[in-house]
Order: sequence, then C-alpha cells, then structure tokens
Amino acid sequence: MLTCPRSQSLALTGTRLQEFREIKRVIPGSIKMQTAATKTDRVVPSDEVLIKVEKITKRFPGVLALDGASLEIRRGEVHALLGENGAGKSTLIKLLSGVYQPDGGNISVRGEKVDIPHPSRAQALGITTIYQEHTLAPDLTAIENVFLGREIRRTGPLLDQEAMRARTRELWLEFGGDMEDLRRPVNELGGLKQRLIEIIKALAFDAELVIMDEPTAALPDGERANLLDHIRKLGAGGVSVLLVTHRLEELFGVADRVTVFRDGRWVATMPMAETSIDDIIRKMVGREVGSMAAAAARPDDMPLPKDPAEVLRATGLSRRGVLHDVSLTVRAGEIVGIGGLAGSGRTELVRAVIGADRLDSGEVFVSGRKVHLRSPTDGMRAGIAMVPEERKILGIVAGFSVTRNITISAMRKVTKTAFLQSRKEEAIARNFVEELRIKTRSTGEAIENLSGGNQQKVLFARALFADPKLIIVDEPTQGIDVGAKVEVYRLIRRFVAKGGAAIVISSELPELLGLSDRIVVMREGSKAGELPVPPGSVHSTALMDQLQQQIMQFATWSSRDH
Amino acid sequence: MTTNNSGRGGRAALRVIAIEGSTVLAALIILFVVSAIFAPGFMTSENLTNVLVQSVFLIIIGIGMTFVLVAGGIDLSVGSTMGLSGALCIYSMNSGVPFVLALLIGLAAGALVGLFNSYFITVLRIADFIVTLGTLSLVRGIVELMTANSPLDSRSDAFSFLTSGTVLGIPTAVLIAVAVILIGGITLAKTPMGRSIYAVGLNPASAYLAGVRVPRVRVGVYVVSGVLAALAGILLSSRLSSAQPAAGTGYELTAIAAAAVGGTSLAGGRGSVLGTVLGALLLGVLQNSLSLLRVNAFWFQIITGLMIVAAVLLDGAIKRFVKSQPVMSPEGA
Repeated sequence: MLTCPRSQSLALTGTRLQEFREIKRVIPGSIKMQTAATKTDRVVPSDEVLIKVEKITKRFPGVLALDGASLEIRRGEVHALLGENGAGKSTLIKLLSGVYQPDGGNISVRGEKVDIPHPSRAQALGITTIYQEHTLAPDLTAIENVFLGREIRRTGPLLDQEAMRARTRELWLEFGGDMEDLRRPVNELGGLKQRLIEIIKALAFDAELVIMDEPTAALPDGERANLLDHIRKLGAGGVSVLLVTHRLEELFGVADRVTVFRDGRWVATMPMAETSIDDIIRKMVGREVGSMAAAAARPDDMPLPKDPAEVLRATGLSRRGVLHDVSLTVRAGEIVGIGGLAGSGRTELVRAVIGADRLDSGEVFVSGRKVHLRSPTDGMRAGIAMVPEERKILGIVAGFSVTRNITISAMRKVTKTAFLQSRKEEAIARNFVEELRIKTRSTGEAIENLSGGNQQKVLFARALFADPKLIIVDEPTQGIDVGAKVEVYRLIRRFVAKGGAAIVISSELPELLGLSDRIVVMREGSKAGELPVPPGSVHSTALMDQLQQQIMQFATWSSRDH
Repeated sequence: MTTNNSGRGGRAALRVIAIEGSTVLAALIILFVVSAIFAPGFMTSENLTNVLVQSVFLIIIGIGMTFVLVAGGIDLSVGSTMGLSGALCIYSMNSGVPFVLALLIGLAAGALVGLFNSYFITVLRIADFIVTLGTLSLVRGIVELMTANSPLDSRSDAFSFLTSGTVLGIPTAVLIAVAVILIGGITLAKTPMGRSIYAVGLNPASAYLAGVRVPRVRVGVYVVSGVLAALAGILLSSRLSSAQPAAGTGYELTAIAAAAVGGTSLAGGRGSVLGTVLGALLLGVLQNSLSLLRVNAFWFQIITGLMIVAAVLLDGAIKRFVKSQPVMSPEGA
C-alpha cells in the first residue's frame, strides 16, 4: 500500500532510484536492500530541484497564513526556513506533510505536480516531518518505533523481527549509535538519541526530504551541536533537509541556503555563505512598521504620567526549566510589552505573575504589598486580571452566554446573600456590550456564536469587571480583523489612561512597538533585554527600524553562544 | 432539498427539546397515562405512594450525580457509599450511639468517601472513572466485612420513621427528598458555586484562568455526591430496617441513567436538578408498571440501557443545535 503509489509516481522521473522501487515492488519487505546503496552511490548534485512550492496560498478564518509564498528545495541541501511567529512557516510544513490542503498554488516533487491529501501520501512521496513535539511511542523500543504501523511482515500475520532489527541496526550504526540503545524503551534514552531515532525512522522509509521543526529546541547545548552535525551529514548523504529554527546562530556551517518568509510571503532566498545574521533579521522584520504601530501608539495628548506609582514588582521569578530569574516592574499608566519568540517564556512569565503556575522562587508585590499567589483567583483578588492567549481554549467558556462570560471572574459583585442576581448581571452585561461596542444579538447569546474580535471584547469586559489594577493581555489581537484590533488597542489605552497598568504580549512587532512604553524581551525563559520606547517613536521610521532590530537581536541571538 | 425540509422540522423539534426537561417531562406524562390505563392497580394511592417512596433513593443519589456530571466528572462509588452509610448508621445505633449522632456518622462517611475520591482526582490527577471505580470496590469490601458475618438489623423506631412515617400525611422520605431537591436545585442554578460547577464542566482551563477555584469545585461536587449517596443509603437501610451486604449495588448506573435521561450531559457543563428528578421518576414509574404488568424485571434493565443511549444521542443533537443557533442559556434548574 505504501510502496505502490510511490513507485508509480517515480516511474515518470526516470532516475536510478526507480530501480530500487521496482525491486521493492517485486519483493515486498525488501526494504533492507536499499538505503546503503542509495546513500553511498548517490553523488550530491546541488542543482537538482527536489521540491518546488509555487505561489502557495492558505487561508484560515480571518487570517491569510500563506499569501502566494514560494520555496525551492534542492536534492541534498540543508535549507533553513526562517521568519517571525506567524510568518507562515508552520503552515507550509503542514501543507508539505499533508496535514493541510492549500487554497491556491502548486507543490511539485521531482518535477511532478502533486496533491498531498493526507500524511501517508507525503510519506509515499518521500517527505517525512519531524515535529517539535516528540512523536515516538515512549514505551516502545527504537526498533518498534521505527517500524510502527509499517512493520515488515512474513507471510501471514507474523512480523519479520529479524529484518526490522537488521535494518534499524544498519542505520543506527551510520549514526554511531550504541546497539544496546535499540533494546530499551525510547523514553529511557536522552533527547538527542530520541531525535536521531526519529531521523532513522524517516530514513528507513526512503525519506528524500526530512522536515525538522525546531529539532534542537529541547536539547542541552552539547547535544545540540551533535544533532546539527548529523543534520549536516544527512545533506551530504543526499537527503534534503528543511530546517525550521529560531536559533539563527545554529545555521552557520549547517544550512546551505536560507529562505525568509514574512507575513505569509516569500521575502528572500540566499546562500548561507552570502548572508549574515543582521541581514536575515532585517529581512525577517521587514521595513514597513506600518499603520498598525501608529494605530496602537500612545496619543500625544495622553503622555506618560510623571512619577507614577508602582503597580507590579516581580523579582527573581524562577520555575525549573521554564523561567530563570526574571524581574519585572510595571507602573500606573504604563504599558509594558513583552517580546520574544513563541516558546521563549513570555506566557510563562505572565502566568507566574497571575498565580496560574507554581514558582520555585521569586516574589510578587502589588502596589508595594507582597502577595502570595497560588492560583489565578489569588491574582484576581490582588488586582491582576488576564486576557489569555488562545481565546477559544483558554479564554471563553463556550456554552455560557455573553453575560455569564463577563461576570464569571467577579461573581461576588453580583451576589446578594449567597444568590446570583440575574437582573443585575444582565444590566452589567448590557452596559459592557454598549460601551465596548460588542456585536451580539443579545447578552443571552452563547459566546461561541460571536466573531473572534467580539469574543475578545467580551474577555476584556470580563477582566475590566473584576476591577483590576493591572491587566495582562496575551496576544490580544491573534486571529481578529484589523478593525477589531484597533478597538482592542483603544481598550488597553483607555484602561491605562484611567490609572491602570498593563502588560502586553505580542508576536506582532509593529503592535508591540506601538503599544508599549517599555519592552522586555524574553529568550529561553530569561530576560534577554529591556528597552524603552521613547514617546513619539512611531513617527520616526528610522527609530522604529532600529527598535525592531534590537528586539529581534535580543530574541534570537544569545551572547552566551558567542 | 429533502434534507433541508426535514432539517427545518428537526430544528423546530430540537428547539422544544432544548428547553430543559421538556422531553423527559413529556415522556413521564405519557408513561404515566399508559400505566394508568394498562397496569392493574397503578392508580391506587397505595401504589403511587409506593412509587414515590421507591424513587426517593434514586432522586437523592441522582442529584449528587448531577453535580458531579455537570462539573465534567463521574462518580461510580455512590452505590457502595449507600451500603456503607446504612451499615455504619445501624452499627452505631446498635452500639448505643444516639440516633442523631448515628445519622451524622453515616453522612460523614459519605463526605469522607467524597474527599477520598477528590484527593486522588484533583491532587494526584488520576482519571475520575478509575478512582471511583476503585472506591466502588474498596467501599463495598468494607460494607461486606461489616455485614457478612452478623447481619445488622435496626431495632430503632425513630430510624424506621425516616421512611415509614408521615408528616401531615406526606411520607417523611418524600419530605426529605423535596428538601434535597430545593437545596440542590437552588445551589446549582442560583449560586456562584453552582455557576462555577457549570463553568468547570464546560471548560476547566478557561474557568481556572478566569479565577474560578477549579480544584475546590471538584472537591465540592464529590463531597456533595458522597453525602447525598450516604443520605440515600441511610434511607434505604431504614426502609429495610437492616443493612445488607449488597445494599445499593448497581445504583451508580441507575443514577447516571436518571441524570442522562433528565438531560444532563455526560460530557459536562449541562444539566439540571429538575431534569434529574424527572428522570428518576420516569425510571421509578417504569419499574413499577413493568412489575405490575408482571413483565420480567430484566426488561427494565434493557429499557434503561436503551434510554441512556437515546439520551446521549439527543444530547449530542442538542449540542450541535445550540452551537448553530442562539438559544436561551443552556443552564437553569
């Protein structure tokens, strides 16, 4: 089932590879014959195009994830795909691995236009994806994992253990692995070995393109270098690698070429040797700061208050493996932005501030008073409210009406002698609906029937109703349209104008720069840097460019490594 | 195009069904009328009183189950808890403990079982199904240890009065059930705790970040379930004037059936006390008329099973409907 469509597609390409496939078709289960030959015999022609993605488009409700993006991967090259969060990298990976279907454009493999309607088709085409989250079955051995769901069979239902063992050994040897490892459940092996087993798993089934999404993310420094070494060797052995990483410094000596995406569009493809980190960052952030920053910016008639009171002071926040000694201060009337890449600890930081996660150490003071936060309820009591990221999963309570979603954080304000006062609730909800211009048929409407932007406004109403001193908003404009974005900016502005303080997390740099008076940049759970955004910066393109580059540098470049 | 038409008809039907408890009320009325016509001796006051008192156990235990189910959990240990509280209560009285204190001991045992369950579920994060299945077996073992060698018989008149006595002509047990219905119904529908229970059942992650004390809610519903199961167990042993090793066995499934038939979602977040009460009455009337008609008792089990499946199917249909259509808020007692 696996070999058949593949052999057909290859029959057209007329390369020597075809012969292997023919053999395979004749002798089912003879996979073991092949890679050794493929790997050693194959020269590394660097001009042959293996995969070509042309003008591809992918739309999600409210978002254009890919907007006519293109990419070309040559045989045997390690190709790095770079871009900010939301640039469309993940979407492209999912299109290539058959998880999503494109809305426009073409994908060609070895010169043939192909459809990849499901992941098994991608595998049949020789495309294997190794995702960021580990996908090995933790309790099975390496051999069992490599052949999981694609076991080599003898006649009948029996498995050909010998063939599978031999094949795995042969590949494992190429990676210099210890044969003992193959007998143990993979969860007893370290991160590096697990990654390598995933790579072997790909090679065992003739992957010609291995896509790796942040392969080094969870590895300690030493193992990281080792894995990168293996990735380079893959390329040299004729297997192409599409590498997605946020650690730009890793690319040198590993990647042959690099492609930069921005906002779902192709920006540039360059040989690694002819570019620099600065150049890449410049291409990632782009030049246009654009109108979003201006829309978010502090109005000139609303200057920062002089000598403002301190609302939040957090010192030495640490949580093993997640946060390392992060300190943060926010004053009344101020908006502090938190920048950094996805997974850099931004969300973890604010979750710690509101009490959602237990801390190993660190102290939090609200208005100068030390508070002990053991749950978001405590955070709420101390005067901190949060509008979380991932509105649908962590924000709204689907199944509840707009009213109930608004009052849930401060039910005691609508409770009299132990009973909820539904009339008062309704009145409050109606006020918010009017004031925040929430578009809904009624306050009794189930919240899941509202548009994303209006759901977000309901969550703001929820936070505001709790009457906080500090409001934390995590990716406040994710997946909502431009009009709603501007209204969300207005809400945050209005809150701080009345003496509140705000923390904003955003992956969109223009938004972050526009809203923030000060930006803290996170990287790998630590504070990588902090920079003030002088009032009126949005009016100076040069200043905005400089700030963007500084943020990206803090976010991607660790001084520790160089 | 036919799908369109039937879809529209289906929508109209669903709109009525989505009104809490309307289906089960209609079913109850139909069953009642059918029983009155066909089942000999159904409409005598003696039989109707009997049906009511018989249903009391299921109503009380079903309300506890409703709390747990609405919060997104499940409690399989209630049947065993019934046995435990009855046995403890009679055992205490027989050893000279005053009546009221013996009752409190029985109820406290239920609370303890609830705390035990919720400790494993909320602190050790073991699946509720597994934990309460374990408790079912564990507690049943204790009950059997207590009752197997020397059957516990009650000689207390006050204890018997709980189920056989009347106040102003109404059976005491029915009055107790009415009190539980009122308190349970109001708690779930009108208090912040009740609202929190729905929120936890609908989306625990967002409820937590919104400031709902999710672990506390979970502990609360299991304790409520344990205490109500204990109360039902005390009433059951009062009615039998003894504590049997197998008392309450199988009640956990009947309680889930009563809640599900009454419109409580087994996935959490939807349901009401009133619906469960109607569901319990429906099962009570069904069992009674089948036995009056001398139908083999196994048929009751078969029909109950079919009703659970039908109720879950209906719940799914309603959920899809609510999603596609603005409806009145889906909660309320």
